[in-house]
Amino acid sequence: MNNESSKSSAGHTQKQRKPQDTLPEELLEKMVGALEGPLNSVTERLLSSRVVVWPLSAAVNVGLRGARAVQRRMPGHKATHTQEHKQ
Amino acid sequence: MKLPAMHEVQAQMGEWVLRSGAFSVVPKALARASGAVALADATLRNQPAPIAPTPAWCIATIGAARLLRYESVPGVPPRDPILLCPSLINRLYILDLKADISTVQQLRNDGHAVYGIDWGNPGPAEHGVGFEGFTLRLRSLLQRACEDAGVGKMHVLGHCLGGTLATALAAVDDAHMQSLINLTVPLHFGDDSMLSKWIRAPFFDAQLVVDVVGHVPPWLTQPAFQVLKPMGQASKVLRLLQSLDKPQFLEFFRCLETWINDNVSIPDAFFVDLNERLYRKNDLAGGRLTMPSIAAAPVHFENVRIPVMTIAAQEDHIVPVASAVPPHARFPHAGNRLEVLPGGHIGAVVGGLARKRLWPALLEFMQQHALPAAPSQPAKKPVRKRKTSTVRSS
Repeated sequence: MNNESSKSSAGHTQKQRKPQDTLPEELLEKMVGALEGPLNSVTERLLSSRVVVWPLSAAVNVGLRGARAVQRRMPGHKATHTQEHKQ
Repeated sequence: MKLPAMHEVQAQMGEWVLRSGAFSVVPKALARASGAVALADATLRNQPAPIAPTPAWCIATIGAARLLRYESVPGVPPRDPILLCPSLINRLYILDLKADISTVQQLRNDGHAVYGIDWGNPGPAEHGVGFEGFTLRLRSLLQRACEDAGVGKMHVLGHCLGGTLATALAAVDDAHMQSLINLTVPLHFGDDSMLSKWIRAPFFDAQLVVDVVGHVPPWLTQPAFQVLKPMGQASKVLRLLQSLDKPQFLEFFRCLETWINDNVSIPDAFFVDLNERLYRKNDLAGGRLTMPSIAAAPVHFENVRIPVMTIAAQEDHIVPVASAVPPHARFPHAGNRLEVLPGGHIGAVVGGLARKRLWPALLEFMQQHALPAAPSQPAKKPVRKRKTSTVRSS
């Protein structure tokens, strides 16, 4: 069944073939493919590696602690709901 | 050596010239420039994108959350009602994005009464409301929707984190649920995705974030979600460039961008629960998540006794297949159904395949698990006559 259908489709290849993309269009498509495929996965692997995640999370942690300390010293500071719960 | 015939050389040269784009580059560039001008014009004029076309009425509110009832289609025989429960951090109208890309319209055209929850932008009423609190709100809104529709139970479609809430509710109290449809829903949070790895980073402290910013605002979450697909923005620009000459695509692009940039803040306590209990400890999949105000026993997927349809997207970078699919095998109902569609987190809902595969599968599943008897009375008149052509504002 499958063979039959593939044969019949092969017979009509000439008629049904879509017009080929022009070279600039093909180049653009390849660029998108590269960005969404290999480049994306390499960057993703890098960004989720310990080399990036650990220092980044440490930096965010220090930054947030600093921000909280500054917030608490500001006049008129009100503790957030979760801070109230802790206290 | 035989030289090629003249007509063969001519044909070959003609093909090369055509392939080089000598005749099509300029017209295409002009068409794209025209599309770019139209897009820039619409953006600069702040012309609203034609999002959320289905008229809806607000019939109940809890805090910032609103329960909406979509207008039914006259003349279509009525079928079971359905409640749409979107993610807490996104707007409901992803399921009603534009006129021809709308899950809501498909359901209405099939005769279903459609209700939806717009969680809204969290305010003072959402302070300290965690996962359990929002599950309670879902239960109340579901109950209210059932009352309005005049039925005891209705189907629930949960999208993303909305489905996580709905699944947790189904495990402890399915009194008002006929079936559950999980559309790209994270249930197992111990996966290996970038999002999971970031949240499980050793020095990341969700409580600290909340202490500083309160409800976690979109300006903090939006860039984080964008980085999950590191080349996503660059490839989006190129895809846009490719399709600038297609007015239909431009309209779709504007609608989708409006939705993507229309995020709401993540409620503070929910953010802590999501990070600490779900992602870090994986309490939900591990059967350790308790919600004492609803049930004494912890949430177990094995206790979801209603039929469940799980829909996952193969290239989903937010809810990978490893997060959405494995728990499906733990739902005990014999009529469960699993669909893994090609596409990403959003593409599965609004892409071309939604029309071809998602909507038919959805309607078929609802028909298979229909309520024993169709509601005899038509939908009631709106409680509050506040018509909302869009559900963006809260």
